[in-house]
Amino acid sequence: MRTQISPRDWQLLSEYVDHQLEDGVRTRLEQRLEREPELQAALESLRRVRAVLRSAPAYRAPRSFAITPQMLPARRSAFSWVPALGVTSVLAAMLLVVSFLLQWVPAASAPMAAKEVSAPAEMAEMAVAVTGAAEQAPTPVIVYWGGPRVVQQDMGRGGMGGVGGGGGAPGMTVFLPTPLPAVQKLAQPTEAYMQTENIQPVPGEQVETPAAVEEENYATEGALLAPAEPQPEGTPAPLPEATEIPMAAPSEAAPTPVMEGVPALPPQPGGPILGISKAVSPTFLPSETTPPSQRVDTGEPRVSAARVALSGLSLVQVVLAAVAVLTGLVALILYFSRKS
Amino acid sequence: MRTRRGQSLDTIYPVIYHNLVNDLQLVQYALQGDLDAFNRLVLAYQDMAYNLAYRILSDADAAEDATQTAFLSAYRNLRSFRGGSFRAWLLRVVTNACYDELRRQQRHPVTALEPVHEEDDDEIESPSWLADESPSPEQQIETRELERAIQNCLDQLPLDFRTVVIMVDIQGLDYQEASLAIGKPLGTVKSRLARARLRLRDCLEHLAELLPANLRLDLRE
Repeated sequence: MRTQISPRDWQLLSEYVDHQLEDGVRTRLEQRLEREPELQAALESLRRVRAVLRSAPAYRAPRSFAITPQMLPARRSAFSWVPALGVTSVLAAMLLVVSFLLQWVPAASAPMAAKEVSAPAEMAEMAVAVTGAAEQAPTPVIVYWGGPRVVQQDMGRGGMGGVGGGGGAPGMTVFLPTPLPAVQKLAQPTEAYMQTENIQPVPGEQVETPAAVEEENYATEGALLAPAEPQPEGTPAPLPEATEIPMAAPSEAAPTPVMEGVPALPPQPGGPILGISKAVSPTFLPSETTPPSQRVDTGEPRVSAARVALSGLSLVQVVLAAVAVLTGLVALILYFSRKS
Repeated sequence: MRTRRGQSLDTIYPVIYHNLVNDLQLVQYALQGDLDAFNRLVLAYQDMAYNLAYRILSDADAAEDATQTAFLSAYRNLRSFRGGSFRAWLLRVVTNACYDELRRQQRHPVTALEPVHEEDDDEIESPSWLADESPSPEQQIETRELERAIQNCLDQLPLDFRTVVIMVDIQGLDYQEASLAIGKPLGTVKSRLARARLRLRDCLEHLAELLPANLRLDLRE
C-alpha cells in the first residue's frame, strides 16, 4: 500500500531528510509523524529513495580533461585590430566628406529660395523694364500692388486677386486693416515721388477715380499682378483714363507719401510704375538702403529649416570626425607599437 | 571539508583535496594566465564534472565531449566567476554544456552503428571505470543492475528535475550550492528536488527487482 500524502507534506519530508527545515517546522512535522503512520511511511520511502540514489556508482573521468595550449584558440593580438580600425577610420572620413557635400546642397539651393522670396523685387524691376519699354506711353501710371481694398475685392470677384497673377508673392495676400482710398493710393505716391525726384508732371495727367481704379484693376489685372510676364507687344496694357476726384484735392497740396518702403525708381514718363505698400508686406519689401544683393536673404522660413538640417548635419559631422580621428590614431599607435 | 553524508571530499574525488581557499587562489593564478593552476582545478573536479555530465546525458561519449567543452568554456569565461563556490560555478558550466549537447542531439539525432558490447552483446551502459576497485562478480552484477535502474529512472525525469536530483542526491551538493549551480532560487531547488524524489520513488518501485535486496523491499510499504 502506498501512502498518499499531499505534495506540500512530501516537500516537507524531502527537506526534513536533508535537515533543511527550521526548528519550528521540524518540530511540528515530527509531532505529525508520531501521529500519522502514513506520513511516517512516506518518510521511510523517501529515505530509501535517497539512499538508492546515493548508492549510485560514481564515475571517474575516462581521461584527463586538462587543457593544453593547443586547445585554446590563438588569442587575437591587438595588432589584428589595425585593419579593422583603419577601415573604420577611412569609412568615417568618407562619410564625413559626404556629410559636407550634403551640407552644401541646401546651401546651393538657398539662393534659389531667396530668389523665390525676392520675386516681388524682381517683379518691380521687371515692371520698370516694362515701363521702360512703354516709354512712349503718354501717361505713366503708378499702380499699387497688393493694395488692401483692391486686392480684397479682386479676390472676391475674380478669384485671382492680387496674388494669383502676381507670381505667388506672399506679401500680396495680406489685407490691410485700414484701407486707403484708391485715389490716395495713386495720386499721393505719384506726387510725392515726383516731388522727391524733382520731376515735372506730365501734362494732361489726371488722377483716377476710385471707381476707375477698381475697374482698371479688374481689367488690367494680368498686367498689374503679373508684371513678370512680358507684354506681347512690348507696350503696357491699355490704361483707362483716370479722372480726378474731389477728395484727392487736399492731397495734392500736401501729398503724404505712403510708399516710403518702395525702392526709388527712375522717372518713368510713360509706363506703369508698380509698387507694393510697405504696410502690406513690410517683411519682404527691402528698404531703399538695402543693396539688391542683400535682398535675397529675406526668406526666413526656408533658411530656418535649412539651419535645422544643418545643425543635425553638424552633429553627425562631429561624431564622424571623432570616430575617424580616434580610430585612425589607435590604428597608427598599434601599428607603430608592433613595428617597434 | 566534508559532505552532508560525513564523507570527506578527498575520498569521493580522490585526485586532489581542495578547499575553497585553494580554489580561489588557483582561480586567481589562472586569471593571470597560469594554465597549470587551472588544470589543477580541472584535475580536482573532472570526475565530478564527468559524473554529472554522464548522469544528465546518459551517454559516455557525449558526457566526455560536454565535460571537455565545459572546462574550456570555464577557462575562457573565468572572469565571470565572482567568487564563492567554484564547484557550484563549474557545475553550472557543465550543466549548460550538457543542455547544449542535448539541444544539439535533438536537432541532429544520431543512431549508433554498433550499440552492442563485443563480449556479451549488451548495450554499453556501464563504463569499465566504475568506482569499485576490486568488485566480486556478484557485486559487479549488483552494481550494474543498480546503475541501470537508477539511470533508467533518471532518464525519465524532466531535465530540470534530473539536474537537481543528480546534484543533491548523487553529487552531494547542498541546497545552496545546487541553487548556485542551476541559477535558480532556493525554493525552486527544494520544490524540484521533492518532486524528482517522488517520481523516482514511483519509478524505482517498478524496477524493484533490479535493485539490491537491501533496498528492494524497503521501497514498498
